[in-house]
Amino acid sequence: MALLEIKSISVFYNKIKAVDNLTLFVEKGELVTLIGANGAGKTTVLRAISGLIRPRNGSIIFKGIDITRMRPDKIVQLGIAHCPEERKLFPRMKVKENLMMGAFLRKEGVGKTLEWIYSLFPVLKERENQLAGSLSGGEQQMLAIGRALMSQPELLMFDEPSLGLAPNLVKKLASTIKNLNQQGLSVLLVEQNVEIAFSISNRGYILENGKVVLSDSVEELKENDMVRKAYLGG
Amino acid sequence: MKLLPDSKQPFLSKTRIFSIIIFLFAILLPLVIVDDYFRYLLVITAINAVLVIGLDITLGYAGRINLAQAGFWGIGAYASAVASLNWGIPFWGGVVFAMILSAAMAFFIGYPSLKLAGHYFVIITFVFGIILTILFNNLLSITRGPMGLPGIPPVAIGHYQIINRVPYYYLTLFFILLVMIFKYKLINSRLGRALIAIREGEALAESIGINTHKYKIFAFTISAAIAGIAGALYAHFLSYIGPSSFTFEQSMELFTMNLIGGAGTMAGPIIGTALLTVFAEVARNFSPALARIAFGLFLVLAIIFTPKGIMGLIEKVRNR
Repeated sequence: MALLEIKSISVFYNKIKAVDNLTLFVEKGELVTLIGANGAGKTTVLRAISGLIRPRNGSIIFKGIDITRMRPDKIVQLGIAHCPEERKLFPRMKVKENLMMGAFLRKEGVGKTLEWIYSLFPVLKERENQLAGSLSGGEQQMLAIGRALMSQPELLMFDEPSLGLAPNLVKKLASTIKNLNQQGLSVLLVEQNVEIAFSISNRGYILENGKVVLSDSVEELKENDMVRKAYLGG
Repeated sequence: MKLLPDSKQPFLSKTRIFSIIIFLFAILLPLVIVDDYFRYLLVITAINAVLVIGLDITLGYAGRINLAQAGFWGIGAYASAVASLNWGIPFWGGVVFAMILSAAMAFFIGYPSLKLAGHYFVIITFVFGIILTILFNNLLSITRGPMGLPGIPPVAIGHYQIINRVPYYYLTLFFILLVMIFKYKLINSRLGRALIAIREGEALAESIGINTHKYKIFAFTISAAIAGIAGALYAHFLSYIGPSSFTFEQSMELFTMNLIGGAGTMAGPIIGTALLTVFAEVARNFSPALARIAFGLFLVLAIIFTPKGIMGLIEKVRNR
Protein backbone atom coordinates (compact mmCIF):
# COMPACT_ATOMS: atom_id res chain seq x y z
CA MET A 1 0.00 0.00 0.00
CA ALA A 2 1.27 3.41 -0.90
CA LEU A 3 1.93 6.02 1.78
CA LEU A 4 -0.44 8.48 0.13
CA GLU A 5 -3.18 7.47 -2.24
CA ILE A 6 -5.48 9.92 -3.95
CA LYS A 7 -8.38 8.22 -5.66
CA SER A 8 -10.18 10.23 -8.33
CA ILE A 9 -10.76 13.46 -6.41
CA SER A 10 -12.49 16.49 -7.87
CA VAL A 11 -12.14 19.88 -6.22
CA PHE A 12 -14.27 22.91 -6.97
CA TYR A 13 -13.95 26.60 -6.18
CA ASN A 14 -17.65 27.41 -6.20
CA LYS A 15 -18.62 26.27 -9.69
CA ILE A 16 -15.16 26.19 -11.19
CA LYS A 17 -13.58 22.78 -11.32
CA ALA A 18 -9.92 23.12 -10.30
CA VAL A 19 -9.08 19.43 -10.00
CA ASP A 20 -10.83 16.89 -12.18
CA ASN A 21 -10.98 13.21 -11.27
CA LEU A 22 -7.34 13.11 -10.22
CA THR A 23 -5.60 9.95 -9.09
CA LEU A 24 -2.11 9.94 -7.67
CA PHE A 25 0.04 8.04 -5.19
CA VAL A 26 3.29 8.50 -3.30
CA GLU A 27 5.17 5.45 -2.04
CA LYS A 28 7.10 5.59 1.20
CA GLY A 29 10.52 7.12 0.59
CA GLU A 30 9.65 8.41 -2.85
CA LEU A 31 10.18 11.89 -4.25
CA VAL A 32 7.28 12.60 -6.56
CA THR A 33 6.83 15.76 -8.56
CA LEU A 34 3.69 17.41 -9.86
CA ILE A 35 4.30 19.45 -13.00
CA GLY A 36 1.94 21.79 -14.78
CA ALA A 37 1.36 25.30 -15.99
CA ASN A 38 -0.16 28.07 -13.89
CA GLY A 39 -3.74 27.20 -13.05
CA ALA A 40 -3.34 23.51 -13.75
CA GLY A 41 -4.50 22.72 -10.23
CA LYS A 42 -1.25 21.76 -8.53
CA THR A 43 -1.65 23.99 -5.51
CA THR A 44 -5.26 22.85 -5.14
CA VAL A 45 -4.14 19.23 -4.94
CA LEU A 46 -1.79 20.09 -2.07
CA ARG A 47 -4.49 22.12 -0.32
CA ALA A 48 -6.87 19.20 -0.63
CA ILE A 49 -4.35 16.80 0.88
CA SER A 50 -3.77 19.24 3.79
CA GLY A 51 -7.49 19.51 4.42
CA LEU A 52 -7.54 23.23 3.62
CA ILE A 53 -10.13 22.61 0.93
CA ARG A 54 -12.51 19.68 0.68
CA PRO A 55 -12.77 17.59 -2.47
CA ARG A 56 -16.32 17.20 -3.73
CA ASN A 57 -15.78 13.53 -4.46
CA GLY A 58 -13.08 10.90 -4.39
CA SER A 59 -10.90 10.00 -1.43
CA ILE A 60 -7.48 10.70 0.01
CA ILE A 61 -5.86 7.90 1.99
CA PHE A 62 -2.72 8.43 4.08
CA LYS A 63 -1.09 5.47 5.84
CA GLY A 64 -4.32 3.56 5.24
CA ILE A 65 -6.44 6.21 6.97
CA ASP A 66 -9.08 8.14 5.08
CA ILE A 67 -8.19 11.81 5.55
CA THR A 68 -10.54 13.22 2.88
CA ARG A 69 -12.71 15.02 5.38
CA MET A 70 -10.29 15.34 8.26
CA ARG A 71 -9.45 18.68 9.89
CA PRO A 72 -6.10 20.22 8.89
CA ASP A 73 -4.65 19.92 12.40
CA LYS A 74 -5.46 16.20 12.52
CA ILE A 75 -3.77 15.74 9.16
CA VAL A 76 -0.62 17.50 10.39
CA GLN A 77 -0.70 15.25 13.43
CA LEU A 78 -0.86 12.17 11.20
CA GLY A 79 2.40 13.24 9.55
CA ILE A 80 1.81 15.47 6.55
CA ALA A 81 3.51 18.88 6.44
CA HIS A 82 2.82 21.55 3.88
CA CYS A 83 5.27 24.20 2.76
CA PRO A 84 2.95 26.66 1.01
CA GLU A 85 3.88 28.92 -1.85
CA GLU A 86 2.81 32.26 -0.47
CA ARG A 87 2.76 33.61 3.07
CA LYS A 88 4.79 30.73 4.29
CA LEU A 89 6.20 32.48 7.37
CA PHE A 90 5.08 34.69 10.21
CA PRO A 91 7.18 37.69 9.14
CA ARG A 92 6.82 39.57 12.43
CA MET A 93 7.91 36.62 14.54
CA LYS A 94 11.51 35.68 15.16
CA VAL A 95 13.16 32.83 13.28
CA LYS A 96 13.10 30.58 16.31
CA GLU A 97 9.47 31.44 17.07
CA ASN A 98 8.53 30.47 13.53
CA LEU A 99 10.24 27.13 13.98
CA MET A 100 8.54 26.54 17.32
CA MET A 101 5.18 27.28 15.73
CA GLY A 102 5.84 24.39 13.38
CA ALA A 103 5.94 22.10 16.40
CA PHE A 104 2.66 23.43 17.76
CA LEU A 105 1.02 20.02 17.97
CA ARG A 106 4.01 18.22 19.47
CA LYS A 107 4.65 17.80 23.13
CA GLU A 108 7.96 15.98 23.34
CA GLY A 109 11.34 16.01 21.67
CA VAL A 110 10.88 19.46 20.18
CA GLY A 111 14.32 20.64 21.31
CA LYS A 112 15.97 17.71 19.55
CA THR A 113 14.20 18.42 16.27
CA LEU A 114 15.19 22.07 16.58
CA GLU A 115 18.83 21.11 16.94
CA TRP A 116 18.57 18.84 13.94
CA ILE A 117 17.12 21.67 11.88
CA TYR A 118 19.85 24.04 13.04
CA SER A 119 22.40 21.46 11.92
CA LEU A 120 20.70 21.26 8.51
CA PHE A 121 20.53 25.03 8.17
CA PRO A 122 23.22 26.62 10.36
CA VAL A 123 22.23 30.07 9.11
CA LEU A 124 18.91 29.73 10.95
CA LYS A 125 20.77 29.20 14.21
CA GLU A 126 22.82 32.32 13.54
CA ARG A 127 19.67 34.32 12.95
CA GLU A 128 17.35 32.70 15.45
CA ASN A 129 16.54 36.02 17.12
CA GLN A 130 16.01 37.95 13.91
CA LEU A 131 12.55 38.63 12.52
CA ALA A 132 11.62 36.17 9.81
CA GLY A 133 10.56 39.03 7.54
CA SER A 134 14.11 40.40 7.58
CA LEU A 135 15.66 37.26 6.07
CA SER A 136 16.69 36.98 2.42
CA GLY A 137 14.56 34.97 0.00
CA GLY A 138 16.74 31.88 0.24
CA GLU A 139 16.87 32.03 4.02
CA GLN A 140 13.11 32.42 4.19
CA GLN A 141 12.72 29.30 2.09
CA MET A 142 15.04 27.40 4.42
CA LEU A 143 13.05 28.65 7.39
CA ALA A 144 9.81 27.52 5.76
CA ILE A 145 11.29 24.05 5.20
CA GLY A 146 12.63 23.98 8.74
CA ARG A 147 9.24 25.00 10.09
CA ALA A 148 7.54 22.25 8.12
CA LEU A 149 10.06 19.71 9.41
CA MET A 150 9.37 20.73 13.01
CA SER A 151 6.12 18.76 12.93
CA GLN A 152 8.18 15.61 12.19
CA PRO A 153 6.32 14.74 9.01
CA GLU A 154 6.50 11.53 7.07
CA LEU A 155 5.34 13.29 3.94
CA LEU A 156 6.50 16.80 3.14
CA MET A 157 4.74 18.75 0.42
CA PHE A 158 6.44 21.69 -1.29
CA ASP A 159 4.57 24.24 -3.34
CA GLU A 160 6.93 25.95 -5.80
CA PRO A 161 9.90 26.19 -3.46
CA SER A 162 12.15 27.59 -6.18
CA LEU A 163 9.90 30.56 -6.89
CA GLY A 164 11.76 33.84 -6.71
CA LEU A 165 15.14 32.33 -5.86
CA ALA A 166 18.41 33.01 -7.66
CA PRO A 167 19.57 30.08 -9.87
CA ASN A 168 22.43 29.05 -7.59
CA LEU A 169 20.04 29.01 -4.62
CA VAL A 170 17.58 26.88 -6.58
CA LYS A 171 20.28 24.24 -7.03
CA LYS A 172 21.16 24.35 -3.37
CA LEU A 173 17.52 24.04 -2.44
CA ALA A 174 17.08 21.06 -4.76
CA SER A 175 19.99 19.25 -3.18
CA THR A 176 18.58 19.99 0.27
CA ILE A 177 15.23 18.46 -0.72
CA LYS A 178 16.98 15.43 -2.24
CA ASN A 179 19.06 15.09 0.89
CA LEU A 180 15.97 15.06 3.12
CA ASN A 181 14.40 12.49 0.82
CA GLN A 182 17.44 10.26 1.08
CA GLN A 183 17.15 10.44 4.86
CA GLY A 184 13.79 8.72 4.48
CA LEU A 185 11.34 11.59 4.10
CA SER A 186 8.71 11.12 1.41
CA VAL A 187 8.25 14.23 -0.70
CA LEU A 188 5.54 15.57 -2.98
CA LEU A 189 6.99 18.45 -4.93
CA VAL A 190 5.00 20.95 -6.96
CA GLU A 191 7.23 22.85 -9.36
CA GLN A 192 7.20 25.00 -12.44
CA ASN A 193 10.93 24.67 -12.81
CA VAL A 194 10.66 21.30 -14.52
CA GLU A 195 14.33 20.72 -15.10
CA ILE A 196 15.21 21.10 -11.46
CA ALA A 197 12.23 18.99 -10.38
CA PHE A 198 13.17 16.19 -12.76
CA SER A 199 16.78 16.29 -11.60
CA ILE A 200 15.83 15.10 -8.12
CA SER A 201 12.51 13.22 -8.47
CA ASN A 202 11.73 9.53 -8.92
CA ARG A 203 8.38 9.91 -10.61
CA GLY A 204 6.31 12.71 -12.03
CA TYR A 205 2.72 13.61 -12.87
CA ILE A 206 1.86 16.09 -15.59
CA LEU A 207 -1.26 18.15 -14.85
CA GLU A 208 -3.32 20.06 -17.37
CA ASN A 209 -6.60 21.75 -16.53
CA GLY A 210 -6.91 19.81 -13.32
CA LYS A 211 -6.36 16.43 -14.97
CA VAL A 212 -3.40 14.10 -14.94
CA VAL A 213 -2.43 13.78 -18.59
CA LEU A 214 0.70 11.76 -18.06
CA SER A 215 2.49 9.96 -15.27
CA ASP A 216 5.67 7.97 -15.39
CA SER A 217 9.16 7.68 -14.02
CA VAL A 218 11.24 10.79 -14.53
CA GLU A 219 13.53 9.00 -16.99
CA GLU A 220 10.58 8.14 -19.22
CA LEU A 221 9.04 11.58 -18.91
CA LYS A 222 12.29 13.21 -20.00
CA GLU A 223 12.13 11.20 -23.21
CA ASN A 224 8.49 11.94 -23.89
CA ASP A 225 7.99 14.22 -26.91
CA MET A 226 5.02 16.07 -25.46
CA VAL A 227 6.86 16.77 -22.21
CA ARG A 228 9.99 17.87 -24.03
CA LYS A 229 8.05 20.29 -26.20
CA ALA A 230 5.83 21.75 -23.51
CA TYR A 231 8.07 21.79 -20.46
CA LEU A 232 11.71 21.26 -21.35
CA GLY A 233 11.99 23.75 -24.21
CA GLY A 234 12.36 21.30 -27.08
CA MET B 1 8.68 44.51 18.30
CA LYS B 2 7.99 41.56 20.51
CA LEU B 3 5.17 39.27 19.53
CA LEU B 4 5.71 36.30 21.72
CA PRO B 5 6.61 36.79 25.37
CA ASP B 6 10.13 35.77 26.37
CA SER B 7 10.21 32.50 28.17
CA LYS B 8 13.11 33.45 30.40
CA GLN B 9 12.44 36.52 32.46
CA PRO B 10 14.08 37.51 35.71
CA PHE B 11 11.71 37.50 38.67
CA LEU B 12 11.90 41.27 39.03
CA SER B 13 12.11 42.27 35.39
CA LYS B 14 11.67 45.87 34.30
CA THR B 15 8.13 45.23 33.07
CA ARG B 16 7.19 43.52 36.28
CA ILE B 17 8.48 46.39 38.43
CA PHE B 18 6.68 48.79 36.09
CA SER B 19 3.40 46.92 36.52
CA ILE B 20 3.75 46.88 40.29
CA ILE B 21 4.34 50.65 40.32
CA ILE B 22 1.30 51.24 38.09
CA PHE B 23 -0.78 49.07 40.35
CA LEU B 24 0.36 50.89 43.50
CA PHE B 25 -0.47 54.13 41.75
CA ALA B 26 -3.95 52.82 41.00
CA ILE B 27 -4.39 51.85 44.65
CA LEU B 28 -3.36 55.31 45.84
CA LEU B 29 -5.50 57.22 43.32
CA PRO B 30 -8.59 57.63 45.55
CA LEU B 31 -6.42 59.42 48.11
CA VAL B 32 -5.75 62.14 45.55
CA ILE B 33 -9.18 62.15 43.97
CA VAL B 34 -11.51 63.33 46.69
CA ASP B 35 -14.32 64.80 44.62
CA ASP B 36 -17.32 62.51 44.70
CA TYR B 37 -18.08 62.80 41.01
CA PHE B 38 -14.50 62.00 40.04
CA ARG B 39 -14.57 58.99 42.33
CA TYR B 40 -17.66 57.83 40.49
CA LEU B 41 -15.74 58.31 37.25
CA LEU B 42 -12.87 56.32 38.69
CA VAL B 43 -15.11 53.30 39.23
CA ILE B 44 -16.60 53.61 35.73
CA THR B 45 -13.10 53.79 34.27
CA ALA B 46 -12.11 50.68 36.16
CA ILE B 47 -15.19 48.81 34.91
CA ASN B 48 -14.43 49.94 31.36
CA ALA B 49 -10.89 48.68 31.83
CA VAL B 50 -12.23 45.20 32.62
CA LEU B 51 -14.26 45.37 29.41
CA VAL B 52 -11.34 46.48 27.27
CA ILE B 53 -8.92 43.94 28.76
CA GLY B 54 -11.46 41.32 27.79
CA LEU B 55 -12.02 42.78 24.34
CA ASP B 56 -8.28 42.80 23.71
CA ILE B 57 -8.16 39.00 23.77
CA THR B 58 -10.32 38.90 20.65
CA LEU B 59 -9.09 42.12 19.05
CA GLY B 60 -5.44 42.26 20.02
CA TYR B 61 -4.60 38.57 20.09
CA ALA B 62 -6.94 36.66 17.80
CA GLY B 63 -6.96 39.74 15.55
CA ARG B 64 -10.72 39.80 15.13
CA ILE B 65 -12.74 43.00 15.37
CA ASN B 66 -15.57 42.42 17.80
CA LEU B 67 -18.27 45.07 17.94
CA ALA B 68 -20.52 43.30 20.42
CA GLN B 69 -18.53 43.75 23.63
CA ALA B 70 -21.03 46.24 25.08
CA GLY B 71 -23.80 43.77 24.25
CA PHE B 72 -22.08 41.02 26.24
CA TRP B 73 -21.54 43.56 28.99
CA GLY B 74 -25.31 44.13 28.97
CA ILE B 75 -26.04 40.41 29.11
CA GLY B 76 -23.80 40.20 32.16
CA ALA B 77 -25.41 43.22 33.80
CA TYR B 78 -28.96 41.96 33.26
CA ALA B 79 -28.01 38.43 34.27
CA SER B 80 -26.61 39.44 37.64
CA ALA B 81 -29.35 42.02 38.19
CA VAL B 82 -32.10 39.48 37.53
CA ALA B 83 -30.29 36.90 39.65
CA SER B 84 -30.20 39.22 42.65
CA LEU B 85 -33.62 40.86 42.18
CA ASN B 86 -35.68 37.81 41.28
CA TRP B 87 -33.83 34.93 42.87
CA GLY B 88 -32.00 36.66 45.72
CA ILE B 89 -28.63 35.42 44.53
CA PRO B 90 -25.80 37.57 45.97
CA PHE B 91 -23.28 39.41 43.79
CA TRP B 92 -20.68 36.63 43.92
CA GLY B 93 -23.09 34.13 42.46
CA GLY B 94 -24.34 36.78 40.06
CA VAL B 95 -20.86 37.34 38.64
CA VAL B 96 -20.51 33.66 37.87
CA PHE B 97 -23.98 33.55 36.33
CA ALA B 98 -23.19 36.66 34.26
CA MET B 99 -19.94 35.13 32.99
CA ILE B 100 -21.60 31.87 32.06
CA LEU B 101 -24.48 33.54 30.25
CA SER B 102 -22.28 35.98 28.30
CA ALA B 103 -19.85 33.22 27.40
CA ALA B 104 -22.66 30.92 26.30
CA MET B 105 -24.10 33.59 24.02
CA ALA B 106 -20.64 34.26 22.55
CA PHE B 107 -20.15 30.56 21.89
CA PHE B 108 -23.54 30.37 20.25
CA ILE B 109 -22.80 33.36 17.98
CA GLY B 110 -19.12 32.62 17.48
CA TYR B 111 -19.42 28.98 16.50
CA PRO B 112 -21.05 29.62 13.11
CA SER B 113 -19.75 33.13 12.45
CA LEU B 114 -16.07 32.48 13.16
CA LYS B 115 -16.03 30.03 10.27
CA LEU B 116 -16.50 33.02 7.98
CA ALA B 117 -13.86 35.46 6.80
CA GLY B 118 -12.91 38.31 9.14
CA HIS B 119 -15.10 41.05 7.70
CA TYR B 120 -18.23 38.89 7.90
CA PHE B 121 -17.50 38.27 11.55
CA VAL B 122 -17.30 42.03 12.16
CA ILE B 123 -20.69 42.51 10.54
CA ILE B 124 -22.23 39.71 12.57
CA THR B 125 -20.95 41.09 15.88
CA PHE B 126 -22.18 44.54 14.82
CA VAL B 127 -25.67 43.23 14.06
CA PHE B 128 -25.72 41.03 17.15
CA GLY B 129 -24.87 44.04 19.33
CA ILE B 130 -27.79 45.95 17.85
CA ILE B 131 -30.15 42.98 18.25
CA LEU B 132 -29.18 42.81 21.92
CA THR B 133 -30.01 46.48 22.42
CA ILE B 134 -33.40 45.84 20.84
CA LEU B 135 -33.93 42.84 23.12
CA PHE B 136 -32.96 44.82 26.23
CA ASN B 137 -35.56 47.38 25.20
CA ASN B 138 -38.31 44.91 24.43
CA LEU B 139 -38.01 41.83 26.63
CA LEU B 140 -40.25 43.62 29.12
CA SER B 141 -40.81 40.65 31.41
CA ILE B 142 -37.06 40.36 32.08
CA THR B 143 -35.56 43.79 31.51
CA ARG B 144 -38.60 46.04 31.99
CA GLY B 145 -37.53 47.69 28.75
CA PRO B 146 -36.60 51.36 28.81
CA MET B 147 -37.73 51.65 32.43
CA GLY B 148 -34.76 49.54 33.40
CA LEU B 149 -34.16 47.55 36.55
CA PRO B 150 -33.86 49.64 39.72
CA GLY B 151 -33.02 48.56 43.23
CA ILE B 152 -30.21 46.14 42.53
CA PRO B 153 -28.73 45.38 45.96
CA PRO B 154 -25.14 46.38 46.72
CA VAL B 155 -22.25 43.92 46.87
CA ALA B 156 -21.83 42.37 50.29
CA ILE B 157 -18.79 40.73 51.81
CA GLY B 158 -20.12 38.97 54.88
CA HIS B 159 -22.14 41.62 56.72
CA TYR B 160 -20.20 44.48 55.15
CA GLN B 161 -21.97 46.16 52.24
CA ILE B 162 -19.91 47.98 49.66
CA ILE B 163 -21.88 51.16 49.19
CA ASN B 164 -19.21 53.82 49.02
CA ARG B 165 -17.29 54.52 45.88
CA VAL B 166 -13.77 54.05 47.15
CA PRO B 167 -14.27 50.47 48.39
CA TYR B 168 -16.19 49.70 45.21
CA TYR B 169 -13.22 51.00 43.25
CA TYR B 170 -10.99 48.57 45.16
CA LEU B 171 -13.40 45.74 44.46
CA THR B 172 -13.18 46.54 40.73
CA LEU B 173 -9.41 46.85 40.97
CA PHE B 174 -9.34 43.38 42.49
CA PHE B 175 -11.20 42.07 39.44
CA ILE B 176 -8.84 43.96 37.11
CA LEU B 177 -5.95 42.26 38.83
CA LEU B 178 -7.59 38.83 38.45
CA VAL B 179 -8.38 39.41 34.79
CA MET B 180 -4.87 40.74 34.08
CA ILE B 181 -3.23 37.72 35.72
CA PHE B 182 -5.55 35.43 33.79
CA LYS B 183 -4.77 37.21 30.52
CA TYR B 184 -1.04 37.10 31.18
CA LYS B 185 -1.17 33.35 31.82
CA LEU B 186 -3.33 32.87 28.77
CA ILE B 187 -0.99 34.73 26.42
CA ASN B 188 1.98 32.79 27.67
CA SER B 189 0.24 29.48 27.14
CA ARG B 190 -0.14 27.34 24.05
CA LEU B 191 -3.52 28.94 23.50
CA GLY B 192 -1.92 32.39 23.45
CA ARG B 193 0.67 31.31 20.90
CA ALA B 194 -2.08 29.88 18.73
CA LEU B 195 -4.00 33.16 18.88
CA ILE B 196 -0.94 35.20 17.94
CA ALA B 197 -0.27 32.85 15.03
CA ILE B 198 -3.86 33.31 13.85
CA ARG B 199 -3.51 37.08 14.01
CA GLU B 200 -0.22 36.98 12.13
CA GLY B 201 -1.45 34.69 9.35
CA GLU B 202 -4.56 32.63 9.61
CA ALA B 203 -4.06 30.51 6.49
CA LEU B 204 -0.55 29.62 7.59
CA ALA B 205 -1.68 28.92 11.14
CA GLU B 206 -4.27 26.53 9.72
CA SER B 207 -1.75 24.79 7.51
CA ILE B 208 0.75 24.18 10.32
CA GLY B 209 -1.94 22.40 12.28
CA ILE B 210 -3.60 25.01 14.46
CA ASN B 211 -7.34 24.47 14.71
CA THR B 212 -8.04 28.14 14.09
CA HIS B 213 -11.80 27.87 14.41
CA LYS B 214 -11.54 26.37 17.88
CA TYR B 215 -9.06 28.94 19.16
CA LYS B 216 -11.01 31.88 17.75
CA ILE B 217 -14.14 30.64 19.54
CA PHE B 218 -12.09 30.34 22.72
CA ALA B 219 -10.89 33.93 22.44
CA PHE B 220 -14.33 35.31 21.66
CA THR B 221 -15.96 33.35 24.49
CA ILE B 222 -13.34 34.46 27.00
CA SER B 223 -13.77 38.10 25.92
CA ALA B 224 -17.50 37.78 26.51
CA ALA B 225 -17.07 36.07 29.88
CA ILE B 226 -14.89 38.98 31.02
CA ALA B 227 -17.54 41.40 29.73
CA GLY B 228 -19.96 39.46 31.93
CA ILE B 229 -17.83 40.25 35.00
CA ALA B 230 -17.87 43.93 34.05
CA GLY B 231 -21.64 43.73 33.64
CA ALA B 232 -22.17 42.40 37.14
CA LEU B 233 -19.81 45.03 38.56
CA TYR B 234 -21.69 47.75 36.73
CA ALA B 235 -25.17 46.61 37.78
CA HIS B 236 -24.29 46.36 41.46
CA PHE B 237 -22.43 49.64 41.42
CA LEU B 238 -25.19 51.80 39.97
CA SER B 239 -28.00 49.70 41.50
CA TYR B 240 -29.96 50.60 38.36
CA ILE B 241 -29.44 49.43 34.79
CA GLY B 242 -31.23 50.41 31.60
CA PRO B 243 -30.78 49.53 27.94
CA SER B 244 -29.19 52.87 27.03
CA SER B 245 -25.83 51.83 28.50
CA PHE B 246 -25.21 48.76 26.37
CA THR B 247 -25.33 50.17 22.87
CA PHE B 248 -23.36 49.80 19.70
CA GLU B 249 -21.84 53.24 20.36
CA GLN B 250 -20.44 51.89 23.60
CA SER B 251 -18.91 48.92 21.76
CA MET B 252 -17.33 51.36 19.36
CA GLU B 253 -15.88 53.38 22.25
CA LEU B 254 -14.40 50.26 23.82
CA PHE B 255 -12.90 49.34 20.47
CA THR B 256 -11.36 52.82 20.20
CA MET B 257 -9.97 52.63 23.74
CA ASN B 258 -8.34 49.31 22.94
CA LEU B 259 -6.78 50.52 19.69
CA ILE B 260 -5.56 53.82 21.08
CA GLY B 261 -4.06 52.23 24.18
CA GLY B 262 -2.51 49.47 22.12
CA ALA B 263 -4.12 46.23 21.01
CA GLY B 264 -2.31 43.03 21.86
CA THR B 265 -0.47 44.45 24.87
CA MET B 266 -0.92 44.10 28.62
CA ALA B 267 -0.89 47.78 29.58
CA GLY B 268 -2.50 49.19 26.43
CA PRO B 269 -6.14 48.51 27.33
CA ILE B 270 -5.71 50.19 30.72
CA ILE B 271 -3.96 53.26 29.31
CA GLY B 272 -6.50 53.64 26.51
CA THR B 273 -9.44 53.22 28.85
CA ALA B 274 -8.13 55.68 31.42
CA LEU B 275 -7.41 58.39 28.87
CA LEU B 276 -10.56 58.05 26.83
CA THR B 277 -13.09 57.49 29.61
CA VAL B 278 -11.99 60.67 31.30
CA PHE B 279 -11.83 62.49 27.99
CA ALA B 280 -15.29 61.28 26.96
CA GLU B 281 -16.79 62.38 30.24
CA VAL B 282 -15.27 65.85 30.07
CA ALA B 283 -16.13 66.27 26.39
CA ARG B 284 -19.69 65.07 26.91
CA ASN B 285 -20.34 67.78 29.48
CA PHE B 286 -19.14 70.18 26.86
CA SER B 287 -21.04 68.71 23.90
CA PRO B 288 -22.06 65.07 23.40
CA ALA B 289 -21.95 65.33 19.61
CA LEU B 290 -18.48 66.79 19.69
CA ALA B 291 -17.32 64.01 21.98
CA ARG B 292 -18.36 61.43 19.43
CA ILE B 293 -16.66 63.26 16.59
CA ALA B 294 -13.49 63.48 18.67
CA PHE B 295 -13.60 59.72 19.29
CA GLY B 296 -13.86 59.06 15.58
CA LEU B 297 -11.01 61.45 14.92
CA PHE B 298 -8.79 59.78 17.53
CA LEU B 299 -9.54 56.41 16.00
CA VAL B 300 -8.55 57.53 12.51
CA LEU B 301 -5.42 59.31 13.74
CA ALA B 302 -4.36 56.28 15.76
CA ILE B 303 -4.80 53.93 12.81
CA ILE B 304 -2.79 56.22 10.54
CA PHE B 305 0.02 57.24 12.85
CA THR B 306 0.37 54.53 15.44
CA PRO B 307 -1.42 51.30 14.61
CA LYS B 308 -0.09 49.77 17.80
CA GLY B 309 -1.51 52.61 19.89
CA ILE B 310 0.20 54.39 22.75
CA MET B 311 2.03 51.22 23.73
CA GLY B 312 3.44 51.12 20.21
CA LEU B 313 4.74 54.68 20.64
CA ILE B 314 6.31 53.81 23.99
CA GLU B 315 8.01 50.81 22.42
CA LYS B 316 9.33 52.94 19.56
CA VAL B 317 10.85 55.45 21.97
CA ARG B 318 12.35 52.65 24.06
CA ASN B 319 13.94 50.92 21.10
CA ARG B 320 15.53 54.10 19.84
